Amino acid sequence: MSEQTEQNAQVEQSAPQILTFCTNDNAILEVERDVAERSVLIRHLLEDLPASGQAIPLQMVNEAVMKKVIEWCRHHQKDPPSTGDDDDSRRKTTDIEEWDQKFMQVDQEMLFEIILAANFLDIKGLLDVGCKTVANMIKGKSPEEIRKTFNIQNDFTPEEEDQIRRENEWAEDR
Amino acid sequence: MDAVTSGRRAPELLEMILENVPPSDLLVNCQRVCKNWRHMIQASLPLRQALFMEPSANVSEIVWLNPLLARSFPFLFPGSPARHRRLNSSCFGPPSLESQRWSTETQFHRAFFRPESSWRKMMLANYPTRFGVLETTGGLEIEMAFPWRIKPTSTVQDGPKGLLMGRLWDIMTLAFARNFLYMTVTWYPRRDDAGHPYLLLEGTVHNIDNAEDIRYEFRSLNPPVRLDVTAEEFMELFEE
Repeated sequence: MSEQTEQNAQVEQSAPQILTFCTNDNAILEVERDVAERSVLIRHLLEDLPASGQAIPLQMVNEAVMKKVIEWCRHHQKDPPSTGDDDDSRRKTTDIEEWDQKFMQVDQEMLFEIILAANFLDIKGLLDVGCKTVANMIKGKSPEEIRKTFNIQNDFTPEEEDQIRRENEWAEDR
Repeated sequence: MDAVTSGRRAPELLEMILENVPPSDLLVNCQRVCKNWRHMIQASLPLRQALFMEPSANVSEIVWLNPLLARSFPFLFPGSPARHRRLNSSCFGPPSLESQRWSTETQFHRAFFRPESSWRKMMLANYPTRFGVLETTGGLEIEMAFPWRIKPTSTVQDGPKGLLMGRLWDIMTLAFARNFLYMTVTWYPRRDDAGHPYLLLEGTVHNIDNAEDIRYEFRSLNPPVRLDVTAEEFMELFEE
């Protein structure tokens, strides 16, 4: 145990290991290993791959999105890793901490790109914040307002939509 | 951006987003957005659990009484019981029912008592509810004088989801139609032999002797409330 602690201390003292990534628009990004390992996908990738010094290709993510993802990972570097036990937080609040709120103030295209990237890279904290941000955009809106906000086509016939409304009209605010 | 919100390319992401939306928004607004959203909310287990349409799968989760129903039937829901604490509702009778906002003939009343209204299919809590009835004669003071108790499991035929609100409503209104004056419900968080949590809802109905004289009618419930249980079915609840 103490041996391991010593080893960790040594790693911390030495310069942080730098990884290079190549995004799908061929940008090369350098990231400290500790930061990049907020991504479970990258952590597993590094465990399986021998350190080659070559750029790691990220085919699902472009440069602009990857920069945002790295910014988030760097800010949340010291967060405790997720335990994977999220059942108790099922009835989560939609509270988002202030830094994350500011971070998520981007256009909708970018917001969804970040969510897709967080899902692909398996960064649970970022995925949660992204989903909560979209959920807050849905909260309190009428069906038509939701469709407008997200540019969704209404594919119900008026009768079909009315049928669903009738089932749940008792719960409407009035 | 359609990839996420339409749910076509990334259904699991739409599900994750909707899991963060309050249940009342899910129920009333999200289901009407488009067919994909409707289908997602009807089919997804976590979203159905959020809407109290399926029991919680996690046996260690704390007990939640259905807040959507609590808003409409406040007299049945005294608050969320903690793990081993029992909770009493106040005594309520036909006058309490008549004072509810759904009791008079309005658009809201009609919306409420539609047969397809979704509250009828809802569970009362995140775990199944078993319902037992105690009947007492002589009013509150002589409560438990000659009670005869019916075992909860033999009273109401309940499936894996336990008692649903529609069924409880039918039993309650029939009870009052049979001259019961008041009802008190008590919630007990319990576990069965296999360790699965459930809620015991014990309804104590208070009657008085010769109650024929004071038969109560649901005067202002117009049209009369819809009942799903036959009179015979109901009588069986009170016969061993």
